[in-house]
Formats: sequence, structure tokens, C-alpha cells
Amino acid sequence: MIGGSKTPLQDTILLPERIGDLTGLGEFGMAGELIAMFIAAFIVGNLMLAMTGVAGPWAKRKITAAFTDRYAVNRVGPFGLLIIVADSVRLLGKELIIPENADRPAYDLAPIVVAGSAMLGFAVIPMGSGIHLADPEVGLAYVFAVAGIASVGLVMAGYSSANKYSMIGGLRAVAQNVAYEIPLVVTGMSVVIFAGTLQMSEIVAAQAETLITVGGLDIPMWYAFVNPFAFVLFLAANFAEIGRNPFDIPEAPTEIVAGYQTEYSSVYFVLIYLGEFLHIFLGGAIIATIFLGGPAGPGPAELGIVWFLVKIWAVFLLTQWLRSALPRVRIDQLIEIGWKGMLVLAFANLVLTAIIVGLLETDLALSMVIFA
Amino acid sequence: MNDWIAIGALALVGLLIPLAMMAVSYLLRPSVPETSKRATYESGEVPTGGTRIRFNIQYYMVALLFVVFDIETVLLFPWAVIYTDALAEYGLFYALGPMLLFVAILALGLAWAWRNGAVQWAKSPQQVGTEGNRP
Repeated sequence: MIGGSKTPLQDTILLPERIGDLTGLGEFGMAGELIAMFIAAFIVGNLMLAMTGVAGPWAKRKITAAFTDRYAVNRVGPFGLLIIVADSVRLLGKELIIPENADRPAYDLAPIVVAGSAMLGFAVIPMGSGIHLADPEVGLAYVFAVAGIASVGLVMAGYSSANKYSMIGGLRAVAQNVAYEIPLVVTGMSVVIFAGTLQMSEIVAAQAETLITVGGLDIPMWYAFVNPFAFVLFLAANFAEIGRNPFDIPEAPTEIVAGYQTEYSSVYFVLIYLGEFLHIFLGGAIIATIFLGGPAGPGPAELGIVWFLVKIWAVFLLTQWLRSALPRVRIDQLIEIGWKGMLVLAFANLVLTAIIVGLLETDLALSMVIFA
Repeated sequence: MNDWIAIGALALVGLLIPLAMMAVSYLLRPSVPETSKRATYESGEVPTGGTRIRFNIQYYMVALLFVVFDIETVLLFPWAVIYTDALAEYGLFYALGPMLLFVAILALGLAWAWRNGAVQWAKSPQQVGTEGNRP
């Protein structure tokens, strides 16, 4: 495994290898390895799918109901959980209505692009308990790049629907993703300065050290504690990037119906919806990995996946909280917050982090002489 | 190398799951074609005009700016990775100085764009006229 044997700190066994060992597939050479990889990819893909399945029809309604002091989905099964099954059958069984002027190949491909690209990002996320599909050295750059593909899908959806609401929604989605991509990546870069690598497993390993001990309690060196300013900035940019409140203007139901998904029905709508939820969780996974220590937590290392899920569900809960609590920004405000506020703050954060790290790392007195 | 094959496997799964869902839906769903059903949705009104409409120039301006800044982030990533090592080897001045200069040039560019209104949401003359009446 290339890049897997550099430090003793990291978990060197990735999921495909583990499955290869468990099932004995690893002994069948290249073909066996490929099958093991495919099984691993299938597990990761379906794990994320199951989560979005729970989050979409059930958790979102339950959380919103709790915020607005109502009951929701409590009829079908315990806590209404079986509504997930009922909903998926209902949605898949809906008639597919394709608008008459739709630009066909693009209209059909957009849902696949949106859903598929979101799933692709999870490949490099270390989820703990050995669930880590791949660990390339450019992990963080890869995950930002893949998360960006969804914008293409949204434009395809918006343009090919031949609907004015969709068109405006698609344009807004791009303007928003474009405005907040830079603050997101630049803030992520300030973490790379601490870690000195883009490899996800190494970024997680670097956060395992102890930052400070308060009353016998070890506070780990999670980058959210090291640089809280970057953490808040990253959270805000992430909400814009995944199009959640208060930055949900690409959908903006009270302005442009449903934005780019206005003309989508049946399974196509399910896929776009699924892609959005996958993106919320992908955003949560990136935040958990680079700011919250990934799968780290109290207890044995086998509990990693539990802590990881707790962290990304915490981010999901935060998106739903903001959804209930914050009003939507206007498009002109969005552009100005992005380009005049977030961008400047992100670069200020990067430069300040670089200077502080530089002063701490090098001889303080010597650098003072150079700067004076 | 293995990493990228595994990622490719996930890409395949990411493609197969939507396709499988489409196939299941194809088997389940009814098809009751009607001509008016497929009409473009415009909140119940009879749709007017095409959708290849003229839109705000601002969407184009921010896309142009994005290209510049996105390339910048690509160029900054390698620097961020080797920064701490470079500090030990070349000292603060040579590790940080060039990057500060690079960011300063871009900040100058942003300031210029800001001054020229590229990041200000473009308003039509009517909107500018009624600006004072807005809450």
C-alpha cells in the first residue's frame, strides 16, 4: 500500500485490505484484491446511503417538529422509523414527469452526477474502526475537488429543465458555490499548515496529541481547539457550500419554488435529494476529520466509527437547527458576505496562522530582528 | 496506486446505486401520459417565453474572479504542505516572505475588483433609483 508505511502512528490497514484478509480474497492476486475493493466500496457507499435514508425522511422532520413544538412521524413503526421504508417505496413509485422542453441527456444525467459525486468524497474519509477506503497523499485536495463536482450537476439540472425557476436556481447555486469555495479551501489550508500533509490519516494522527491538560483531563490537539476562528469560518463556508440555511438561496422555496429541482419528480427527485443529504454528511465528515479529530474519542479504538458518526450527526443537527432558527440571506447579501467578508477573513486567518506558526517554530528573537 | 483503484471502485458503486434506483423505479412507477402534464411549471400560469433568458451580469463577474482565486489556492496548497519543513531549513523570512508577497498581489487584485464594483451585486437603474425607499 503506497503511502501506508510512512509513520507508525497511522492505521495502516485500509478497508479493502482488511476485507481481503478476512475473506481470503487477498490470496487470489489482483482479481481478488479488486473484488475486495469493490466490496469495501459497496460497504462505504451503503453506510452513507443508510444514513441519508434515516436523515432525509425521518430525522429532518423529527428535528424540525421538535423546534416548532409539534409531533411528527409517529404512526408507522417505533418512533415512526418505518416511514423511511414507506417513503422510499412511495417516492420510487411516483410517475416520472419530464417537462416538454427538457434537454434530455443533461436532464437525465444531472441526478446521477449530484448523487454520485457526493458519494465519491467519502472514499478518503477515515471513519474509524478500520472503515477507510483509500488514503492517497492528496486526500484533502481530492475531497475538496470531488465535493465541487456537484455544482456541475446543479447547473445541468437548472439549465436542462427549461424552466425559469430552475435556471435561476442553477445560476444561484454556482454563484454561491464559487463565492464560498475559496474561503472553504483557504481555511482548510490553514489546517494543512499545522499538519504538514494532505493525507487524511496523517491529519487525524496529528490531532491525537495532547494540547493541554486541564484538571487531569487531556484536551486533544483537535484543530477546532487549536484554531477556533478557522473552525467557525469553515463551518460557515461549509453551510454555504452545501446550500443550507442561512445560505439556502439556490432552493429558496419562497422565492423560486425549489430552484434547480423544480421540474424533477419521482426517482430523479429522490436522487437529487439524496445527493444533497450526502453533501451535508460529506461536509460534516470533512469538518470531523480536519477539525474534530476524525474518529478519535474516549474508549477503545474500536469505537471509532461511533464517535465519527456522533460528530457528523452533530453537524447535521446544527444544519437543521440553523434551518429552524435563521432567516435566509438575499442573493446580493450572499455575494457580498462571500467576497467581502469570508474571503478576506479566510486569507487573514491563513496569513496569521502562517506568521504565528512561523514565529513559534523558528527562533523568536532571530525573526524579530528580520522583521524589524 | 491501490488507493486510486479503490476510489474508482467507489465511483462505480456511486454510479451503480443511482442506476439501480432508476431501474427499480422504472418497474414500480405508472405512466399516464397527458400533454398538459408535461408543460413547464410556472406556478400554474400558462408558460410564457423561453428559458434562455438574459440574467444578471454579476453571475459572470464572480465566475471570472473565482478562476483567479481558485488557481491561487491550487498554487498555495504545496506551500502549506512544506511550510513547517521549510521553516526549519530556510528560516521564517524565506519560507513566509514569498507567500506573503503572493497573497498581497492577490489582495491588491481583490481591492481593485472591489473598488470597481465586481463584487457588488449589480443593480438596474430602476433599483438604484428606489434604493432609498427600501426597508
